[in-house]
Amino acid sequence: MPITKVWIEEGCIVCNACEAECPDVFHVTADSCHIKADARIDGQEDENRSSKSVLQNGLQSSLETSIIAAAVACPVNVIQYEQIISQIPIEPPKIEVEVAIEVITSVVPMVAETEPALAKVQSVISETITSAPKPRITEVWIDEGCIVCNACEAECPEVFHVTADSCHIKADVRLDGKENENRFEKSKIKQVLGESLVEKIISAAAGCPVDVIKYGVFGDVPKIEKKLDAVHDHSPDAVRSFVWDIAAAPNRVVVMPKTIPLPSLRTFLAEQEAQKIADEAKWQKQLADYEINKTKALGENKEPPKAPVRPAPKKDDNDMIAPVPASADAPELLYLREKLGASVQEIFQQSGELVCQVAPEAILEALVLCKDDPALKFEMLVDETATHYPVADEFKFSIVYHLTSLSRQRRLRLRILIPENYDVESAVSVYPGANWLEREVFDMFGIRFKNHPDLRRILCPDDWEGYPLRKEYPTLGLGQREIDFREDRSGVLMRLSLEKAGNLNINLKKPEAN
Amino acid sequence: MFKNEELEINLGPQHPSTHGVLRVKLRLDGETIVKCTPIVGYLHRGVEKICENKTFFQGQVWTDRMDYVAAVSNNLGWAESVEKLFGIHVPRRAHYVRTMMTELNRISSHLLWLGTHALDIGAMTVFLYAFREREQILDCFESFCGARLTTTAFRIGGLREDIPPGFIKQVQAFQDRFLDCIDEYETLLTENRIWKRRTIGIAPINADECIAFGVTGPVLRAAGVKYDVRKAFPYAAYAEMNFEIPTRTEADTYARYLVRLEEFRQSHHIIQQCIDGLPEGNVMAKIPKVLKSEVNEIYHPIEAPKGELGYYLVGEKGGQNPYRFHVRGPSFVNLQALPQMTEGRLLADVIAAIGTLDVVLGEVDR
Amino acid sequence: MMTPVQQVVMAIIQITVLVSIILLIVPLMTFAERKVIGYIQVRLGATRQAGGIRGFAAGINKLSWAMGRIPILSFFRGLPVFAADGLKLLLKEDIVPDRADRFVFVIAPVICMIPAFATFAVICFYPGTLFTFPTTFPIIGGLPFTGFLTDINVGLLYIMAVGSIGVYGIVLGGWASNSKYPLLGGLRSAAQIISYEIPLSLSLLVAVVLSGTLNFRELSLYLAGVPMVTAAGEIVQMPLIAAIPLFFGFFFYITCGFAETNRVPFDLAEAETELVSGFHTEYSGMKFAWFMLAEYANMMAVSAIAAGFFLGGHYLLPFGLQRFVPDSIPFLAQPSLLFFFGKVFFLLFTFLWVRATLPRYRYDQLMSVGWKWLIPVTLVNLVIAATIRLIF
Repeated sequence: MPITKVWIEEGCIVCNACEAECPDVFHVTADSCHIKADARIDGQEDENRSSKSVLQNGLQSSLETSIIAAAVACPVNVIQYEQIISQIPIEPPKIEVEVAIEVITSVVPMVAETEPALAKVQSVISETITSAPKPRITEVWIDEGCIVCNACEAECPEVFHVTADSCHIKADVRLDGKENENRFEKSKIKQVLGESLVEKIISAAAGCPVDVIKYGVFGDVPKIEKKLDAVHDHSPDAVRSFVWDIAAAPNRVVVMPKTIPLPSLRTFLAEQEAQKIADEAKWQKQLADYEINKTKALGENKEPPKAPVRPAPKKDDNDMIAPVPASADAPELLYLREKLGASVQEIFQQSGELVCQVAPEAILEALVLCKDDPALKFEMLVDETATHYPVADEFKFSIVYHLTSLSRQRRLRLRILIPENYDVESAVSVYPGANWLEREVFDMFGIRFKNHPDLRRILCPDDWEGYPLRKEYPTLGLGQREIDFREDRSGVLMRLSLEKAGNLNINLKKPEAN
Repeated sequence: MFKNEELEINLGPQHPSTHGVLRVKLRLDGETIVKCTPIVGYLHRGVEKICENKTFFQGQVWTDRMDYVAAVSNNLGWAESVEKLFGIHVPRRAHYVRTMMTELNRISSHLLWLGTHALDIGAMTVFLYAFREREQILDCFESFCGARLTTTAFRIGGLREDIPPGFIKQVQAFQDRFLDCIDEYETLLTENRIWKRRTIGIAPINADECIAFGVTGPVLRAAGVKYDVRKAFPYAAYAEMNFEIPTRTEADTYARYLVRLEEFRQSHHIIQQCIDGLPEGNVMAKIPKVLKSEVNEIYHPIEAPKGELGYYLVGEKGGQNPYRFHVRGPSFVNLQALPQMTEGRLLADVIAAIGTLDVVLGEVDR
Repeated sequence: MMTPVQQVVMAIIQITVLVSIILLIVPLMTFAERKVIGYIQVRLGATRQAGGIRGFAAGINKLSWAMGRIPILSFFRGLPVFAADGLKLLLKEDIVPDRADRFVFVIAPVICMIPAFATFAVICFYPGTLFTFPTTFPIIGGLPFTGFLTDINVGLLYIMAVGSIGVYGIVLGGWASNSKYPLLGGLRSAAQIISYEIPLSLSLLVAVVLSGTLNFRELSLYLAGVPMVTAAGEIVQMPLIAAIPLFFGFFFYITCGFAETNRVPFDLAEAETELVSGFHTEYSGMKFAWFMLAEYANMMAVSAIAAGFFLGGHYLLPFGLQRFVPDSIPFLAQPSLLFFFGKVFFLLFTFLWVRATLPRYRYDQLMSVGWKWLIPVTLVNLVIAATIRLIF
């Protein structure tokens, strides 16, 4: 339901929580929180407390969830909003009925279930078109051996109801109106439902781990392959071909980064140069404007406008000096560039740390050099880790090696940039301590290392799906079995998290239909 | 008729002396260990991922929960790394108080190590003696920041509040009796014949192996390498402190015991210097309410009680939370050396080795 | 002479009294263990299940707290904890692990416990009549109640024979649990107890060689150093020089005794930091309680034997030094139940004291201590004793 107005009541503690949840609407300043100008119709930027200006039309429904989340996240509950609560069901357009059926029968059935609109379409179909005999399920029953796993109820809550010790066929769908396993009665189910729920019942039967759901059919019902158990494929190929399937989770919201925060002297200088040019252009424009205005004013015999003043750099009384990359003057870096030649992509220093970026093919050579060369002698690999840059085109990960020289008390960071599915040469042969560190990188990012003695997951269980420290891995919902927000009285967090989790075939409780 | 079979035995995840949920898979030939495989991850909470989704201020709370025995050290690491990322200059008084708190925490962490290590080897009384002193330190923490275990002691840019009145007196009271307490532990253990037999030559790992495996902290120093982050890459107020790095060359459990006992005395000495030379002034740097970072990556190591604790942070332009956060936990890296230390030795030595490595599973699994 | 009926009734009464004493002392030992170790470790030990201390006593307690001392009365708080312990163990669910050898699993604690109690059959608590039943009593009227149950002439042999059965209980219990830690615990225990039987016997042989008898009562009287009338009618007295092997023998014996009873520093069979709980990991409820009872009864037996043979038994002074106490002193020169139990309790306290002080040996070190060190020195000690016997 679209949100029309948002405003901030008195008492904001400037905690940034709302801006973190919904940066498009909220902007936290030094002393208060503002509703952004470009989100509002009146174009002002303030708390919106007195004016209660309406939100931009396009944002009303698209930002609904994030605004609610921000309001919930607010520790002092000063974010207020107005929401249209619509009672009118969305009428499905008649023309698209055929297409909808196509979708249901041909595409993955899971997607169809999660879309409430499509479910409604289904029910509309079943109500409107009853003349021609359709393929349908005539009866459903549960054989002995139910393990009360809830899988069927998750698939098809309309028909199945899992109790403490067994699974029942609901009274609403049955002609005899009883509610039990239907094992002996074999009561028929209502025709309308039998038609509309064909897909669901069949997929529930296929999803049953012990195959006790049996059904009778009429007509040519679609066949669904029995789902494989959630056994993780351990073969190397299976791991390699891992692609995070965003399409399979349409409802899941993952905040992806927009920038590539890869510190680099080259980019920094380029940015600075661009900034300088932009500043200069702005200044020139200001000057030109002034000249025009002056001549105009002179022509009209008015007072000439004030001459523009070039803005001085902003004064900052904080005890902060942001460290910027500087060109390398440390002997180690120069020596490395001299020794490795073209494989060194970049050297620079920042925050007093030495950074040397080498080509990924040359990393082993660089590590051997760093360890054994008497001029470098970095004996210890203290840390090895990776960072995911999903936005970048040429590479997807950076791997950093932090080396320490105990004898000379110096530190060095070696960095490589690698694309997806690139096998890095393992550092274990040079530094045995890299063993667990590389296992952790594999566990968290899915980066594989060549010639690693024991490349298994280390912190996550062996059958864990996905790589948690990739940016597209959701922080909420995935792998979560049960959600118990004690403070969540309104159920908003529950709903949001379920939506974020999406349908990844995880054993989550489905949201109740409104 | 008879066949030789190796017995596979799981030491943990629930076991009295694995100090948490460490699981060590052992293949035994009689009581001799043929193969030792540490299996970790039972306490994995994804602190790194969580902190990537929290602001720099909020992230600090999570660092307490990693090495919960040395929460103050972890706090210091986080505060200093974020300060390094932003280039924040911290007042000198704050540095002194931080140093004092961290050293108190080092003592309390080593006390817990001493107690549990001795308990593992069978001497149960040391444990309670050590906890008596640890209690006093935790009382100091409580009066400093209100919490005893998960302290969240510092703030980015300094301290939230100056030290409370009477705090120095309280620390001084601890200082006055602690040296005698160390002697008391020594009377129970140092010359005890059984203790010596259980520790001398047990779980050895020499300097080369230590460096190869990245092992740091007292284990490295007991192998004769004079490496301490406090001296090599000084942070906080350590550059102004006068202390020694205790080393031994035997590289066994007994040497590590002696090194840690000497670290008690050195920490005591540092705390005394902090008390005596505590400068006046502000304790909090002037920083904006909302920290927005520039593009930068830093690795900041500190000397936690267990070894080198490093935080790797990547900042995004205008980002309020770290783009990437990684912890180099000393326990995690040190635990790698366990097979090296125990294979070919006896079952009881595994217990001694786990104890002497001083791992905290909250930090291993993060 | 007693009639068979009188003998049976007398035996039943004596056994009842003896078993009640053991069953009283053993739980009290668990309480003492909590309190003594608590005292050594600067804490209070068990303080619950006592109700409040009221009235005058409470005032004294308050005063001592105010003076900054742990009040002495606090040491007796938590006394009923042993009863609570027993009740808890009785009511606890009795779990037999899946695929355990059920019969052996059940029988093992019994095998462990019965020899521990049977040892007391030959132990002489007082070398004479404690009191005489009044003649008004039916059947046993006018009969003496002696300080020992039996007075057989192979007492020591009996003790050693019965004492070595107990290890079966431990081994079988460890094996029948069908679990890895108990198995290791049981095996360790078997090897340990068998190894330490040898020096234990050798150190006890010192006493036998010196006195030339196996009867517990005669042994203790002879080794106390007082003149003794033998069965043959001659008066014998231990030579003073025999105190030397006796003195060393005591320390060897008590060391082996610690190992035999699986106490610190030799508690490898139940080393909780290595083997979780050793051979009784899988035991719970009353079966576990039987192992506990056996352990404490064994401690008591070891203490009683050490007190009887080496520490002067029923007399005041140990190692045959009783001769220096003139007969004219009324109480100190006479044998007394008090002296005997005093020594036993002191030795029991030593068990707890050592537990709070020493770390645990490693398995191979324990074996090397037993074979390479204890057996040679006990042999040398035995040779010295034999020489003394030959010459003096």
